[in-house]
Amino acid sequence: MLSAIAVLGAQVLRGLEYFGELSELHLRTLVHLTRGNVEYRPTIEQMSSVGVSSLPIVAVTMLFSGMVFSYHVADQAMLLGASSYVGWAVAETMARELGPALTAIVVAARAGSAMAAELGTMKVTEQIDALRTMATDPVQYLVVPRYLAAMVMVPILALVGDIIGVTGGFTMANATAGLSANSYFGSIPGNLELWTVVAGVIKAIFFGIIIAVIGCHQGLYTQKASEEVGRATTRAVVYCIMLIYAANLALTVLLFP
Amino acid sequence: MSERERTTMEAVQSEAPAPDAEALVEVGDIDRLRPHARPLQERPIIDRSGRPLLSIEHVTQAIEGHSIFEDVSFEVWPGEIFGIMGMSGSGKTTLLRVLIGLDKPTEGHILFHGEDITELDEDGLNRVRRSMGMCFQYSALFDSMTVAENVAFSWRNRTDVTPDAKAARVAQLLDMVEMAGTEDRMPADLSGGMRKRVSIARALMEEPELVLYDEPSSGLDPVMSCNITGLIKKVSTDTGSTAVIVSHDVPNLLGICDRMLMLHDQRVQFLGTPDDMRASEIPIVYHFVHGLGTGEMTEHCSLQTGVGTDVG
Repeated sequence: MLSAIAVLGAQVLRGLEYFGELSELHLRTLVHLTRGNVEYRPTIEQMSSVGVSSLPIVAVTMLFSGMVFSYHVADQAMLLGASSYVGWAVAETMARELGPALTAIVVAARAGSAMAAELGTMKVTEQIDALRTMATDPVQYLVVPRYLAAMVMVPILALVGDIIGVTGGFTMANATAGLSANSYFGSIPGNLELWTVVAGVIKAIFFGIIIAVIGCHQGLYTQKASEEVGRATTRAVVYCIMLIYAANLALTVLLFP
Repeated sequence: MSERERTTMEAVQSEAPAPDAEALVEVGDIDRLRPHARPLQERPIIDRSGRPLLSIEHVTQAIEGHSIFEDVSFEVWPGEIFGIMGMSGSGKTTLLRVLIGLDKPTEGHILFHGEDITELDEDGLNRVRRSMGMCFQYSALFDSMTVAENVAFSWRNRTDVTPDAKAARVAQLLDMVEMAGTEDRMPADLSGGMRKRVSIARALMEEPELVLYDEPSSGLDPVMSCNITGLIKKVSTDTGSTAVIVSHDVPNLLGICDRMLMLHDQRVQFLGTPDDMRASEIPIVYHFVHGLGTGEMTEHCSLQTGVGTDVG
């Protein structure tokens, strides 16, 4: 019994320590940002890596998610005689929930894991120490560009994902319920509020920050052993997904009271 | 030399152009083949009358309660080539990391130009590190960058230098380390010895007063190992920089260092010149210098060297 309590206590302490490390890393990143310590070339490279390279997988994910969701909604809407609202229902759901959350999870799996692997490898091969010996703060050179890239690119990807998802939804609604483009897309402008889209973007910004901070933290705190890079990568994806879901709940309650 | 070998050598010599008499290496003068034995440039006389460049005062380092080394004290003078030797796991690399502020010592002080760097925060350490360079054991080149980008890394944000001037400086350094023309190659395409050379060029970009070398010859064959240590001597002499070298490559260190230190059993066991080290009768130093084992299964070592293992 005592040992179980000791194990539980150790886990709680480890959890607190982990969140302390995340907070410290986030704070140091914000300090560099407020001082304008931004390296432009790596930032642009990271934007390409996080944004452009993630676009195909985000597009595929959102296309099929929009189609599946539209298939269910169109089926129910036809029964209730509300088929003219199918386009709006798909767009609302995409903008509020599916767009930001699914995009963030895809980016976490692709770019968050890459951040942990890259930085972890640099740690193991002493490249992070080499940066420090050349008077370069690894947080400024490595974390700030990834933080900015994720914070900017995840919302953009989410918006693009929204459009692809709604379009995919139309193809399904048209194929299964025979909805016309006018009926499907015409229901969106009058019903979808701008705030819904803005709130989705705000969520995506937070998700981007979560991905960058967790991915970089796992990389920078990798133990010096090659198998640890793999573990850090896995942990980065798992922790990102867990925290994205938890943050999604908190942000949904805050943004849609 | 057998008759057949002599005949072959004479045949080769008769076909080859007449070599420069200065370049001929006589039998028994094999040391001339060692780069650090060549008269590249006379080593300056180390002036120990002023203030040392680096003072290590009673430094102790422990990690998670486990002592790595205790009460280590020594001084490094401007222009000196200082070697740190010790068996694997004796804390040589840890000591080097402490010297450049990558790790803080548990106790003691490290003075660089009289300033205690153990009291500095990261910004203060970055200021001091601009006067230092470090070459890591596995080179630690940035594998996503070309050789030129690696070498010029510390100049990447300098706006007072034109791209041409930067490229010229990179070319000059690569030429110094005998890697001219490799600017566009990636680190993955280089051999271990080439990576070490690029790492040395990168460390010299900011014209540091002090360059720290962590196991510069590890993983290299004896010829390349000799070339790298020769290069360190050349670089130190040409640039006037001070060098601290961590290694257990005894023959090469003895050949280039002005003074040497040996860490063993968490303490400094020896501090002196290479000649003092060769003559030392301290058992572990003697074993180290003569390449002798300390366990029971070491007969092959004594057979190789012809020196008994009854020391200590």
